[in-house]
Amino acid sequence: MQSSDTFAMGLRSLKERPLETGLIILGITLASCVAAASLLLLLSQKAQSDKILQGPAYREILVSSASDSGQNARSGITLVNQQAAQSFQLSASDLSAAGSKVPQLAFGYRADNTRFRAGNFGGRGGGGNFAVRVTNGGDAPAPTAAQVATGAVVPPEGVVVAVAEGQMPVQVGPGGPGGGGPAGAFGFQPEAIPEGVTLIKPTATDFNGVNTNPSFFLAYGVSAGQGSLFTDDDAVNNAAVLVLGPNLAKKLYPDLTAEKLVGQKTQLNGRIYTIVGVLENSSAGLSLANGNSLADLAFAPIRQQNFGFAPGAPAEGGGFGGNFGQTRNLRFAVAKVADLKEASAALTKFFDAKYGEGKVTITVPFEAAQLSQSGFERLLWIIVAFGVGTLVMALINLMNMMLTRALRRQTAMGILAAMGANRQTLAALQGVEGGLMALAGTVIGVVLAIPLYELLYQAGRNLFNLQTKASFDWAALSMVTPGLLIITLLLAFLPAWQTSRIEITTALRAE
Amino acid sequence: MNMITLKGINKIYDAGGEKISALQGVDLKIAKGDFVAIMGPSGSGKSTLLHILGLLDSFSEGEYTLEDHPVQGLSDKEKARLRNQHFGFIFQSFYLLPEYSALENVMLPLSLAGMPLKERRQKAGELLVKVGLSHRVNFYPSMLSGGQQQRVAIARALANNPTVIFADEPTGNLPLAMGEEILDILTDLNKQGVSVVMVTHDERLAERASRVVRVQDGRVMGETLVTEGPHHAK
Repeated sequence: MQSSDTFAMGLRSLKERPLETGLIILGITLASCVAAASLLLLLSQKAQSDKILQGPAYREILVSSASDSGQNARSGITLVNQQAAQSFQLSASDLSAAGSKVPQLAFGYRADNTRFRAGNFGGRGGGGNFAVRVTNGGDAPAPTAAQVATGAVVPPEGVVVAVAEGQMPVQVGPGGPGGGGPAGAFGFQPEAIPEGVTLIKPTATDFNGVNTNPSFFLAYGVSAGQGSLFTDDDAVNNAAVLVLGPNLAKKLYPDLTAEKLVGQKTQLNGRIYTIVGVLENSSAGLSLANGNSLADLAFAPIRQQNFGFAPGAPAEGGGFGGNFGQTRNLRFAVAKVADLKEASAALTKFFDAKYGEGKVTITVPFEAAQLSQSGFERLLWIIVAFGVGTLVMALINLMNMMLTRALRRQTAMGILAAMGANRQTLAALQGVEGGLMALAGTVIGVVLAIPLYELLYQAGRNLFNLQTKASFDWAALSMVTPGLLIITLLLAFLPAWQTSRIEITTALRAE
Repeated sequence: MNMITLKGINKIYDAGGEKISALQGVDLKIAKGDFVAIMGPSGSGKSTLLHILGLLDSFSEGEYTLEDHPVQGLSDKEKARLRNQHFGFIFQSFYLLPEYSALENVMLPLSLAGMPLKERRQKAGELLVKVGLSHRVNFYPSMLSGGQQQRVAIARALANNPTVIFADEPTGNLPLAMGEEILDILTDLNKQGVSVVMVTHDERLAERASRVVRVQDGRVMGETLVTEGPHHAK
């Protein structure tokens, strides 16, 4: 018998019992979906989380003034007066000082998450022209002008505005990246567009970014794919320069290639920035501890007199007075995760000695992430057990249904055998039926497993407050899919093989 | 020349530990062009004998030679090929596949023989014309009368030009007139040189055969040569 005839006959048998066929396919689909999603979670998340936890974001140690400790920041209740805030400010010079005292530290830098807004908010010289900076280190939406307007008016930089519980504290800066206060309150005016200067307009009204200094790029080991990164001089000179992640560049300026973007000017937070570089594409694989990929962020130089430190970088800058060198957060990075414990202990000792015991909070994101990760992994195993259990039950049902179907077709098999069908042909005829159902069910199940995986992953992340964010692992999918296919196909062919062994006379008498 | 020779065939069933002997020491010869009627009461073993002759069932002991070749030791695949290429089967219950049309039912043995679709469609059509069903080729079995279904079964049995047709009570489910028509077809086929082995318990039908083999309690009790009847009118 030609294989095309075998296939056509098998397909025809499927069509003859659409309800039964549909139910079997549905069963396989559901089982494959749950099993694939749970296996994907286990395979991809474990591998990727381990990898992510080895990444630069988890080699960081965060040093915060006590009033800005993670606990307070997360609670959203932060109300301090100017004097108190000042007393808890760290000095940017602590970066190099700590770096020289703690040998395990490889890098020191500032990196404050920020939100860039396109345009000048109400027109050149308009009263609502200001910039805001989210200071909790999170990926929060930009506070509205109303939020700032209704909060306590605290003109100088670094003063935290009182907000209700659950909202993010907002820090108002004087200018520069993330700087600029409300025009009416601080006399700030948006930067005038010089004659002959053409600005490019981003497609998004606001987006996430980081105010940092060049040591950050060194710590993350990332370079510019086009143009250049900003320099320590840019920080010293308060230069309005911008480096874009490659994904963000494509999103904001879809009509311009990275090459053409370099040198263009755009107005953000009322200030005119020159785009000096676009990060290399590999930056997509690097994430901050909050899960944001570097490729999705914009970077502007933080205005400070101290550069931070990094191998080969200048040790000390200068020239700024006032409190521009003061900050609430400093970041350090070790060369390898194994050094974190020792380095954090040494840093605690250093800062306790300088500011007094308990005045500074040392946070190691790796430890918190590892704790959350192990909890998530335990949940993953439960999901996997459930998924595999579902698959086994569904496959037992499938086998039962296939056997029942085959037994019902015994007479037909007997007739075909009498006409000259051998056991292989009979098995192939039944196998095509089972195989097609298994194939359809598994493929649909695996496709549906992708959104289920995302759903489970998000639920797990929220439940365990995971900061690591792994991208979908297509390699894991390419392992899970054939594995499931082999299992379902084998189990679909088993009844076919069994029914092909029946005695012809028994089959003919089955009617 | 003997086409099929059975020598000392025993068939023993295992029914829950109890051995039941369905056939005991059966000797039988079928020559080319024979029309053999196997007769006997219910449970005598005549259908078992037909199934063994048609390679639908195995036997426990004895020798079976087909054109001087022993059948013992043939693989399932080889037996299937012999059934497809040399034998045709007609059953009391017709055994047509209900989801296939008359034409498609006749095409099945051709399909199993690996004949291309166009050729097998043409040949199946010709066979249906031959059994008088040219106007019913696309009808499904449920749309056909019993006699018409049996004609389709005969056309299907003839698909690969068999040397022997095995018919198990071919008129058992048919009214008398239709049964006569079916027997007329079988007689005509026999006249054309196709051997026919038919199981029946109807003496009147057996008169169409050239030989009547009587079976009782699994044994061949005797053979009768039929000297009169349609078979001898050729």
